[in-house]
Formats: sequence, C-alpha cells, structure tokens
Amino acid sequence: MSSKVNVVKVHTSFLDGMAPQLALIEVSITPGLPTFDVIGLCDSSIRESRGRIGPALVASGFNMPKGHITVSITPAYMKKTGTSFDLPIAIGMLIASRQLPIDSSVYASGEIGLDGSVHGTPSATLRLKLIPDDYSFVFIPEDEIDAAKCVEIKAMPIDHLTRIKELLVEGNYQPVSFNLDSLSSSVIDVPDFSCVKGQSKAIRGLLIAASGLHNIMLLGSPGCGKTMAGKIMSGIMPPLTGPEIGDVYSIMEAAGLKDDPEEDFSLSDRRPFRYIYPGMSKGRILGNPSKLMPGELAIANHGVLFADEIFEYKKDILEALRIPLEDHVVRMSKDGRNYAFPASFVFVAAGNPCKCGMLYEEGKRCTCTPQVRKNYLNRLSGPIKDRIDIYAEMRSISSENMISSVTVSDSVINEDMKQMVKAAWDIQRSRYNDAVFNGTCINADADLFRASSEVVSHAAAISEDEGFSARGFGKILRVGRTIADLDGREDMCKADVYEAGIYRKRDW
Amino acid sequence: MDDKGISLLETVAIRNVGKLNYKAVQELKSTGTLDSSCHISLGYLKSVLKNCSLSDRTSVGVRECINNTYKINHAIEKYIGIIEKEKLWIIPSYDKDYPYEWKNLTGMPEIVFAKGNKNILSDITSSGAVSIVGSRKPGRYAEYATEEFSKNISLEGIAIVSGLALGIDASAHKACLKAEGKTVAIIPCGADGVYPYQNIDLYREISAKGVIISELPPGEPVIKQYFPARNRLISALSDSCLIMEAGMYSGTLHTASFAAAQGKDVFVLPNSIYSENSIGGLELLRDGAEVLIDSDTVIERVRGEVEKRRMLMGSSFPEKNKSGERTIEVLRTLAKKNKDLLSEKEWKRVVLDEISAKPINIDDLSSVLAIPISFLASLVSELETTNQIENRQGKYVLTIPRR
Repeated sequence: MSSKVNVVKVHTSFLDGMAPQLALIEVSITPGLPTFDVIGLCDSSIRESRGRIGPALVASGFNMPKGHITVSITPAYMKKTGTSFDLPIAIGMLIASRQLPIDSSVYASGEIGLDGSVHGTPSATLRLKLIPDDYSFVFIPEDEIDAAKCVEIKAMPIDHLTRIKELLVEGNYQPVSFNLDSLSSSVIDVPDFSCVKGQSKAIRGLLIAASGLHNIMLLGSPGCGKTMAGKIMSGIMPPLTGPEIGDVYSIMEAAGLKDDPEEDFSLSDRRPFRYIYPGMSKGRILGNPSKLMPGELAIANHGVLFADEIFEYKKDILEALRIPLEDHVVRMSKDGRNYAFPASFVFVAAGNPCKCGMLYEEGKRCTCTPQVRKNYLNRLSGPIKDRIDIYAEMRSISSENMISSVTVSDSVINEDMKQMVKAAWDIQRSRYNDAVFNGTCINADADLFRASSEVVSHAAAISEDEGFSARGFGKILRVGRTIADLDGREDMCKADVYEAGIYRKRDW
Repeated sequence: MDDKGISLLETVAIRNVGKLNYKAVQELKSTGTLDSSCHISLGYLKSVLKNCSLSDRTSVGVRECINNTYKINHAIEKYIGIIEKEKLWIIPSYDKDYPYEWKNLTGMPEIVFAKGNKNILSDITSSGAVSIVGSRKPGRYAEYATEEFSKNISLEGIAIVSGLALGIDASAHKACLKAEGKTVAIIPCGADGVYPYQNIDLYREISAKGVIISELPPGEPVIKQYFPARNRLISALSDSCLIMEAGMYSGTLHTASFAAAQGKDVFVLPNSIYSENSIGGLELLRDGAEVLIDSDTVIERVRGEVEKRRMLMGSSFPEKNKSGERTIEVLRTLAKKNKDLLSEKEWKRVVLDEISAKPINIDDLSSVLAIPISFLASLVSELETTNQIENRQGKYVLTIPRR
C-alpha cells in the first residue's frame, strides 16, 4: 500500500549566528491519524508553531489539513530558532492540502498569531538580504517593510493570512519594489552650539575626529558641555549612505531595539549616537555572546559611541574596549564559532580631569592633591590611553569669552562644519576606495598619506619627545592626514603633524 | 680714522707706552678736569700738570709721558696702521656696544679693541653669556663635556666666552661655532695677534663668525703676567662661569675667583679625585662652587640674570636685536591689526610673549590672539616639542624664563 507522497516546498531564510542562510521547508501530508511533526534541529519556538498555525488557519477561513503532517526544514544539520517559520509552514500546508493553487516557487517568512495576523520577527534585514529575486511569490510581514527597504527587494507585504487567499486565489499578486528613494533625509536636531562656544580646541578636535573617524577624549569639569559636544559630533557627520542604512537598521533590529520603548527606532539616514555610561552592564555594552546579541559597540557602527565618565567604568569593560577601538570589530564566540560585528565608530570619551573635576577651571580651585589626581587618571590603563587620537580639554566659559570667540551664528558654524567633514570624507573615499577613514585604515602608510620624509621626521621628533609608542607615531600621521584633508591639501605639511601632536599630547 | 678714534688711541698710547697707571688715571679723574669720555691727551696732561696739584707719584708719571711724546705719537701711528689693516674697532666704555656687564664693575678697561661680528657683543646684554674655561691639556672626559655643554648652551642663543687657549678654551669655541652659536674670545695680546699660534685657524673662524676682544692695544705681544688680568674680563663678560678642568695651580682658578668676586655663578665639572688635573676644580667645589651636572641649570641661571638685567635697565634694555627682527611691541600690534604680515616664526614669538605673561589655556589663547585654532595648535605644538613651553594642568607655561 504505497501512495504517492505529496511534498510541497516553500523557501524561507533564517539566521545562523549573524549570517543569513536560505532554508527550504518541505511539507508532506500523508493519510493517517492527525499528527504534526517539525524536524530539522528546530528549537521549541519552531515546534510550537503548530499551536499557532491550527487556529490561525481556521480563523482565516482555511481548514486545518487532516493526516500526518511532517515539516522538514533543511539544511537539517544547522540549528534553527525563531518564529519566522510560521508563515512558510502554513503556506506549505495550504498548498499541500490543495487549498492554495500554486506550484511555483514561494518565499515567505513571518510569525502568525492565533487570529491569523502576520507579524515581523527580529533581524529581518539580515535575513531578507539573501533573497534571490527569482521567486515567483515573495511574502513578508508588513512590519518588515522598513527592512525590505534597506535591502531593496521586491516583495508583497501582508498583514493577515486571509490576504494570501486574496492574492493567490484571486490572482491579485502585485509585488512592491522596495527601495530607499522614498526615505526623506532626516532633520537632525543638533544641540545648541552655544554650549561649546569658546572651546575652540574641543570643537576643532571634534571636527577632526568626525572627519577622519578618530577616537577623541574630552576632559573637563562637570557641566562644561562634554556630552553636548559629543552629540554635535553625530550631527556634523554626513548622513548614512544606502548600504550603511541597512547595516545600522539590521544591527539595531538584532539588538532588539525595536521592542525597546526608550529607543527611537525607525528607518532613517541619521548616524547612530550611542551613549554608554558606567552603570551599563557588560553585556549591554559589549554584546551578549550566549544570545549573539550585539551590544552598544556594534550598534554604534557607522556612528558615534559616546562613553560618559570614562574614568568610572569597571576595569573589565574598559579593557574589553581595546580590540574594538583598534580593529573596529566586536568579536564574540558562541558554541565554538567566532562572530565578528563591525564596529567602526567614532569613539568619544568624556571625563573629568581630576577627582574634583575643577582642574581646568578658571577661578575655582582644584582641591586634588597630585597623588589623588594621579590615582584618578590611572584608572584608565595605558593601552586605552594609547588608543585615543585626540585629547581636548574643556572648561566652563565666561560670557566674555563667548562674545570674543564666536561672531558668526551657530547654524553657520554647524553648516560649515558639515561641509568640511563631507569634503574630507569625499577625499578619503577617493583615497581608499572604500568606507575606510584615516582613523580606521590598517596602516599609517607615509606614501599613501603623501607625507614627505621631512614631515615624517617631524612626526618622529614629536613622538620621541613625548615618548609615544609606534601606534602613537602612526596616530600623529593619521590625524595629520585628516587635518590636511580638511584643508583639501594633497600633501601633508609640517604644520599638520605639529597640530596633530598637540591633540595627542597630554599632561598626565 | 676719525678724530674721536685718534683721541681714543692717544689715551691708549699714554696708558700703555707712557705707562700712566690706573691709580694715576683715577687721581686725574678725581681732579674733575677730565671730560666725561675720559680722553687723556698729551695737551691735557701738560695743562693738568700746570693747573692742578697732583701727588708725587702721579706727577712723575705725567711728566714721564710728556717726555715720551715722540714714542707715544709713534705708537699711535702704529696702532692706526694695524687697526686699518686688521679692521679692528675701538670700543670705549661709553659706547653702546660696550658690554653692559663691564660697565657695572670696577677695574674694567676704558677702551677695548675688537675684531669680528660687532652685534654679538651688544647682544650679550639680552642673550646672556657663559664662560667656559679650563686646562690647556684636558682629559678626554673634560673635553667631551666641554663640547656638550658648549653646544647645548649656544643652541639656546647664549654666547660662549673663552680665552682662545689650547685645550678646553679651543673646544668650547669650536663646539659653539659648530652649533652656529655666538662666541667671544678674549685674548691676552693685541686683538690682531694670535696666541697660541696653533689656534690660527680657530682665530680666523672666530674673527669671521664670532668676536675677538682685547683690552691691550693692537700689536701688543703676549705678556705672561697679563693672563690673570685677561681672565677677569672673561668672567666679567659672562653670567655664569663653567670650570671644566683645573689643576692645583691652574690659571683657571683665577678666572673662578674673579667670577666669584664679580658675583657670577661658578659651576665646576666634577671629576675623579685621582686626576691631578682636576684637583683645583674639586677644591673649588669644596669651597662652595656649584656642581655642573646639566646644561639646563646653567641656562636657567643665565636666563635669570638676563631677566634681572632687564629689570635694572628698564627701557634701555635692547628689545630689538641687531639681526633686524621686529621688536615684540611691533609684533603685538601687527598681530592685532595686520595678521597677514607676520611670519610663522614671528607668530611663535607672539605666542611665547602671550604665554610669558601668564599661564593660559589654548582656547583662551586662540580667542585672545584671534587666530584659528588649527594654526595656533600647530604653533603651540611645535613650541612644545622644542621644549619652549609645556602644558601644566591644561594651561601652557614657559619651560624656562625667557628674555
């Protein structure tokens, strides 16, 4: 007694770690007692899908097929998790039970509610990235439209299982081509510039840091505008480009920011500004390896990571910053496999220059003894200090200084700085042919930087004078290159490296 | 040769050939008949003999001079010949080029002869000077130290004064010339003479790039007894005196005692107690001389002396140096009104000037000078790298007091 096994195939995708992976769902229905098996290294969230699919089918006007239902998800050797398999399984069952009249290739993903509604699932952007455009039918949840825009696919968004019937039975399938063209440039509300007026070194430092993706540290008394200065940073950087929008969006999704009411989660070309503070858990900052959840470092990719009160962090968190600051990736390992999240951000650290914080203040007296100050500053280890390209001192400014230092209006400065940063980015793009910056390129190559041997010898003199490491020497060249880029000069000159030197030197 | 020059030479000839000594001159001065420039002419001597009552010894001396009129006139002619041939100049004590330090001490020559770069002598007032003296047969150690100190000190713009002798003196001059510094040789014979003759090349180089001074009239040969007297000029011209190596009975010790008596800082290079040639120096250390360890201490001390001098001299302190640089007052005005006219070097001076007033934050500096932070940062950084200023608690200060 053999009957022809009726196997229906539906395509979907899942995430293996952070790597998208196509999957094929095979559904077979054979006569017999009603059973429902899902096989293929699935976790309980997938196996529970039968509980959701049954009522949903009924609620949407379909019938729950009778008989042995076997759902096999291949590749079967990979562990899978997530509820995005609901929709493809349901569609597979409907086709297998001949409730839907199709025999061409179908891609679907999405979670189904008991009432038949279709919901988005986390990390949609990463999954959708992989879809080839030769499927006849592509269904995605309406919640994932933003993700679809990021990866620019052609798909049909649906919000309820009944829509499937309308589209396939009545032949109304008209996929939408998603793209980012419709995305309007977001208006970035940068804080009032007056809070950093007169802090010319800090402003210049921020400008250089934003132009070449250099790590910067702002030191000043409480309330002198360090945080504000950091926020200005993301405002003067050019908006995200197409692929970067997808990167940022997908990592934010993966980090679960979609469900966080505190977060302003939307698809936009705004550069991420991530604020971390000493009270944050290690997992939140660096990421959670057991869940492969990216942390703030990865979320800040293409943007700004602002570390407030840098001297107050626990040692293990600070030291863990070493590799991301140097290699611009966050590495995690889970189950014997390594994962790397890109983390190419401008690192802005802020802190007080001493325990009482008043060291740089005019008039007010710093009450720290040299030993107290030394102990305070020593909380930052040498390797971390070495990775900072620019140190800028800040202090509260008197009204007199404000008037003397700034004569043009804030918006002009803001706009000017934006233009300068953009110009510098364009130069760097043509130099590296990639989204690499002076601060993030692998080697500080004097030839590539167009630094003459004279310029290099000046940089060496500064490094020797200040006892810099080889990295410090490289940093001087890098920052010097950015200064030359800001000036629009092809060749670096002596003044560039000397200016770079002043940002790198510190009196502690 | 103008009349003034000839009358100066006449004074010199009367003092040297006519053997009119210091005491006699002092007595003539006390009669109130000498004019402010202290020129002594034969005519004057005749009149003073007639009109004033002088002590026996002085009147004998004056008569002697008058009797030797022929010799004196002959000497003047000889002087003129040498001066014109060797291109010497005559500096009387009231001349603006006459070293300020000498003006304040007694027993300094009324007239000196010099050869070479006149500016160096007048610059000493504002740059300061260090004398480096020592044995004529130094050990390798002292010689090496001499070269090091001479180089480091002259790199700071401070003049190196010595006596053109063999050994330490020559090393000090050579190292200074090599570092393109300012060097002064005070020699124990006429400014046209070379002593010792082995140093002829050095003499020529100094007379081209540095300056050679002598209080002896031109053409005067070396007199051994004069050496200590010459040493008093070396120590008097400098702000600090470095004794690199001195044996038990070394002439260098004269220089040290002159320096001490003139109120100069005496530094002695420490050396082995088993080295015969350094016992004199070690004795000096026992007597309370300072130990010479690093050039920074010396430089700092000299700068302090210059600062003192600036206070004493007030407005007559030479702000503008002879190489035609703009004075800082001019630069200050230009920095406010006509920024484009200033060169990078001049901006550095303006920045230093601003920092010397009080420790200042770079942001404030930028708003005070009203120049872009990028330009200012590179200036400040360069000044910091060359150790002229340093960052102390977020504010820039001068590393060492400057002129």
